[in-house]
Amino acid sequence: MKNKTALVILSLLLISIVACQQQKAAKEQSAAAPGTTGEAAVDAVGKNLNNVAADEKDLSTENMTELDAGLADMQNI
Amino acid sequence: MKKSIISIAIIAMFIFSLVPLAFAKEATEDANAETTAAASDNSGASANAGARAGIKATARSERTDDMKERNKEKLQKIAELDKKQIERLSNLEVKNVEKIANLKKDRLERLAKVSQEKIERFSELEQDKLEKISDLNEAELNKLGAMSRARLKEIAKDDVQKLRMDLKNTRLVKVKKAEDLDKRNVSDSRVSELREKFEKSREDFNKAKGDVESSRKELNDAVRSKNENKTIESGKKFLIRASDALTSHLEKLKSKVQESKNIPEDNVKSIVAEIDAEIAKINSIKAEVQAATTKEQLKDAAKKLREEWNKVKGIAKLHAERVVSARVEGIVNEGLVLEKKLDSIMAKAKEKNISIDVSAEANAFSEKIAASRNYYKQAQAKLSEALDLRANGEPTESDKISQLIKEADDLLKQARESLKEAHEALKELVKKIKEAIPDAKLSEENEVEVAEESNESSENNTTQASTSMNATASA
Repeated sequence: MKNKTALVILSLLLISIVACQQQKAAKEQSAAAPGTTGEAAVDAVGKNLNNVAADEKDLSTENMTELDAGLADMQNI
Repeated sequence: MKKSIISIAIIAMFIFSLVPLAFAKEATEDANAETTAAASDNSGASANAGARAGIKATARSERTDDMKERNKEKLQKIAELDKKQIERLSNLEVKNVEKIANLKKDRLERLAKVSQEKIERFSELEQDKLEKISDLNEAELNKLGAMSRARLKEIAKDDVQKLRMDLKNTRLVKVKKAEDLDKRNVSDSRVSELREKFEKSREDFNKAKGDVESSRKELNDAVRSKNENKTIESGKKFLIRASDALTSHLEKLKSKVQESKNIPEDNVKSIVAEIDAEIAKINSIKAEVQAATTKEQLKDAAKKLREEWNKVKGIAKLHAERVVSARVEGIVNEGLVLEKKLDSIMAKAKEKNISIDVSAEANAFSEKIAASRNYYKQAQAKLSEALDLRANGEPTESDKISQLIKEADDLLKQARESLKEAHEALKELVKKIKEAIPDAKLSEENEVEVAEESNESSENNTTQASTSMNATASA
């Protein structure tokens, strides 16, 4: 009886180890962040493209409507 | 008994679960061996996999040798070529050797003088274009061969005279990284300093913008309550916050211009001088606001600030486009250098008999980079036109200049779209190369040769326009 229980526990332990190894392998496979290649020069291109978009947004004057409207209001005080 | 069956079933499940793993591992080893054994004999793969890969590599090598021999036979007809030239040409694809062998003796001799990599590039061209370019001299051929795939195809469409003219304005540059093509050098410490300044200005701007919104509400409440003192107080508050928002926006722009490595130094200086002059004007209006005691004085200051803001909007848009354009130019340069590095990796792979079929991806990448380059060059031409108009006294906020800025903006958006597509093609290309050559490194700083074409519409040629524009502004 004890032997059988030990056998079942051992089997479950082995299955757990195998499952952990598979999980680890899957994680390693998807180690590179999504959208990146792991090659610095290539990923830099993507990063720089994002930076251009950010710069464009930061330097835009389109989001200053409140200032425009306020300066117009000041003419009528 | 029942328990024993359960135990046996669990063990059986465990054993079965191992079976696919064993296959997967074997397959991986096999694939690795196939790609690396030809390149290196110490792959460490299993003996069987190594042997199989060895046989495949030998077969590939034999095929290549066969191809070379057949090519040599074709080229032997041209007795004037020396052994070295025949050796170089015989490494080409069979279909391309046909095209080369069809060339007249003198043309073939000229073509055979350039490097193997360049001959391969030329041999991909159609027969008529190949005939045309083989009329060029050795120096011209060397410049042409250093161009990207897409640019070579594009330029080869021109007639010989136009081709010669373009090549006259082209110079060969040896670079290790894309930054070597930058128009000016900005040290890393200076970039960090400018980024800190930019972040500070951005915080100031966001705070001032928030304050503008709240003080405008206060102002409207005061006007509605017809309380004169409160109106003056909240009006002052609004105008001071508005001045702060404008100056911090200009400070942000200044930092980005100073950080731009593809705006020439003289142009950076003139843009910064113009921005500083605008900041000084806004601060002078702010001082008038702070000193105002009557509604009329405030209204007068508000009018001046409004006029100044309309002017600043035009200036800010124009220079912001110049910053974006310079950024795009930097990324296009990265693409051009990467293409060369990929070529060098593929050439080394060929030497080691590793065949990688990435011509479709390489062409797509090159074409997208060339398209982006064309778009940003057109955008720069529009911006140059706007700067020329300003230099001739046209106000920055005029419809003509606004239209040119808008057109440049649209072109730069298209340039960025092409760059995004180029990046996708590049990722696919790198993935395939890495599968075939796992140790291939694109980020290594090895030297590559790039053809740099001078361009009349680039930022290089706007210095004079910018300077005279400033003179006009000061006057």
